[in-house]
Amino acid sequence: MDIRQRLKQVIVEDLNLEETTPEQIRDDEALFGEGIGLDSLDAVELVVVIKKRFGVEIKDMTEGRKAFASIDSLARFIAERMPA
Amino acid sequence: MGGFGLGKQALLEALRRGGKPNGTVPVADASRPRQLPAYQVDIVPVGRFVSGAVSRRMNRFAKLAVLGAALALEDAGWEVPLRRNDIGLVLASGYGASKSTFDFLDSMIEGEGQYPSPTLFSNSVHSSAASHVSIVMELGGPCLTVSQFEMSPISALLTARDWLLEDRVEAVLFGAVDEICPVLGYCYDQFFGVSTSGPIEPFAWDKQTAVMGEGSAFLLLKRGREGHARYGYISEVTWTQSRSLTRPADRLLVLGADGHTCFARDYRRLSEQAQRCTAYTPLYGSLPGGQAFDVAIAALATEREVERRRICSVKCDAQGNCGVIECCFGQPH
Amino acid sequence: MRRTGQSIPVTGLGCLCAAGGSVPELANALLTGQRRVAWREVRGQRYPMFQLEERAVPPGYFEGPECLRCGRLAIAAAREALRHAGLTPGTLRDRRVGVCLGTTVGSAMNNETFYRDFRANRRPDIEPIRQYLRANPASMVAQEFGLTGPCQTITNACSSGAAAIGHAAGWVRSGICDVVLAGGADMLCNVIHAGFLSLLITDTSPCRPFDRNRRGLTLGEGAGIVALESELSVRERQAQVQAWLCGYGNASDAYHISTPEPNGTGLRRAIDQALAEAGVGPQEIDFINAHGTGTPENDRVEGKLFPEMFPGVPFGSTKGFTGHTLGAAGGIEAVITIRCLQEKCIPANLGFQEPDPEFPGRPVTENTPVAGRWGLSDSIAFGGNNVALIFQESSQ
Repeated sequence: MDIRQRLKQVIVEDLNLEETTPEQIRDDEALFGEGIGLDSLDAVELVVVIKKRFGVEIKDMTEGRKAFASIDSLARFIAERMPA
Repeated sequence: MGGFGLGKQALLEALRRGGKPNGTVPVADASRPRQLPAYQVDIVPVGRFVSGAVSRRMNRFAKLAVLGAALALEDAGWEVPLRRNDIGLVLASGYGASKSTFDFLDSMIEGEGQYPSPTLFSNSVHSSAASHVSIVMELGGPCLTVSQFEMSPISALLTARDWLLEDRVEAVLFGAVDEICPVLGYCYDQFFGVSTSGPIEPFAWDKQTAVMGEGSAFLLLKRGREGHARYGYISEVTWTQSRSLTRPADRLLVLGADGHTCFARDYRRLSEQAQRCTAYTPLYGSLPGGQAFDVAIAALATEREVERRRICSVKCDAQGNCGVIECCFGQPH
Repeated sequence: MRRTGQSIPVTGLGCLCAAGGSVPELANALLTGQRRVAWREVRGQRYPMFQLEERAVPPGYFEGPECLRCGRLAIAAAREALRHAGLTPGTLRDRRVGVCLGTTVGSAMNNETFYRDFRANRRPDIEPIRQYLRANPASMVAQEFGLTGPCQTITNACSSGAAAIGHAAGWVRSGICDVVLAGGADMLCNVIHAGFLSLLITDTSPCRPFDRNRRGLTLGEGAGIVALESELSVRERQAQVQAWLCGYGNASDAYHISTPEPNGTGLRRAIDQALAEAGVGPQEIDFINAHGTGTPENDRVEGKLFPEMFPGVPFGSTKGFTGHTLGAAGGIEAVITIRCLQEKCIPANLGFQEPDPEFPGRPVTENTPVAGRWGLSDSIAFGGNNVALIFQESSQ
């Protein structure tokens, strides 16, 4: 499974998005605000989730904000930092 | 809601047919697996009032609170969300969000070397359930969460009464919530052993018969003014010492005796003084917030005009404190 | 909104925190700008803590079970408040005395050792649970001093201590108590620290309230308690009034379980309620003790609201001295606010260096004389509860 697919699955499961399926999330869709509609608590939860599921650490929300723009940007961020 | 089911009708049914534990809680013991009886809430269908997008972040404790509050408001004919700043919210919980605390500890322990879950932490704060209620109901008024073990409801009701008498608010949503968790099951097993097989025998003073219960009970309270109150009036809210408590003999005494022998002495003395007394704990179980259920039952009795004399709910704790909530049919003078 | 119109005398103050083991020590630290910070390492990163000095903790504090420590802190602060008020055991016996305290850790069953053993099916001894059942801070205070009035433990997160004081005033006003010991107590705790770390709202430097480069809060511990007393009781024993509690406001954001509402509408409502109850306008407030935790969100809310509601009124956070003491914060800051009224001076907002262009509010950067007639203290809770207290100087 590629990172994007895994990411969508993890977001739906770990953020408990009961009314969304991974298939409904577009790669370029905004994660926060409009789009999927995640909020600040989801953002910090996502930091934990990404560390746990992908082994990638986000040091703070300044770094996180850029990565969290969309599934695409987050997948790229993870791919660049994932342990081999 | 509680082991008797969900809503007013379920409680009325339980009053008619009697109550008993409806579930079990496993005791963590690999050498001797066993189950303890419990009064458990089966499901918490908040979906009637809250979208999945909003409820996704609620844990079970919060859902017990949100649904209890929503049902009380629905019963009052108020539309949810309220969008009001003049309604107070007081939530009483004996054990607080204990299960949520343990869930957060799980994430800490499981994630050694990683970050524990911030969502679980946010939900483990005792006031999170009240926060969820205020968010869902859009209540911008005063809010308090009170945690005083068996004295939680009386303590919270003192707050509610003050807010109403001081005209800080038009109404108060008062509720008690307690939740069973595996640690509680372990505690019952360790403290009481095989005596907790049920049923609760509230008047068997020398027997330990308490059975874990959980649930929520909410009441919408207003200041007693002219006119008829559907569920009657709360005429007295008193914190006192058990040893000095006496009640007029004509009161129907509803004792919060829930099978724990540590509270038995004071309940026994009160029962011997009263002409009529009863206990409803076999309907909903042993839980610190139980007095709120007794007040709800008194309210139902008033609505159905089953009891026109004053009903006095009494709850005692292990420190000799006693909460007295007296309810009456007509406007007290 | 109806004004209740009856101010309540404060006759005693008690406090212990990182800044000092008593009210005089705390006042001296505020005056001299003295800050004591301890450090703790978590996963290779050092974090500051505002920890009580060992000499400041009550006797038996470290020897006894950890879960009783919040209660011991509360007892120590209550003892100081009672002594300050001149309320002897004899005078207490003749009065209906209640206890109303805020806490977070004091009500939480977060004994890690016990839970780890439970999880691993090692069937731990049940003694930690017995201890937890005895550890309610308000009950501990009541039992220590033989008090038989109502007990209430408020678990409203960061506004608990302030809410406890506001609510306790109601007990005095309604006549169910002659005296109430009200405030809050909380202790540093690994579990709570882990929680705030996970939210990414802690700073690796001591907190910098309202500073442009602030990164988050710094946890602290302690207890702050005031003795509220009826005027009748005060007159009977000719007690000295330290200050008057004349306004209390409590309002909810109804916005989010962990983030404050950005426009501060809940806080504004709480402050308006307190002003109305006190019968004063914003222009009469001489200073504000801000909640000022040092988190980006919290300080932005107050930094925008204070200049709007109280133009020209000096404000500052004292968490640079005490840390964020959670359930104790409102109690400790009530004590500080009253001392500021008495000294007619507010301390510098430690940790502030560079203004944040996102909001116009600028806290005081040095000890600032104030007229000292009315002081406002606000507390903003995790989960959206806002409490405002207004104290008036005592002319005695």
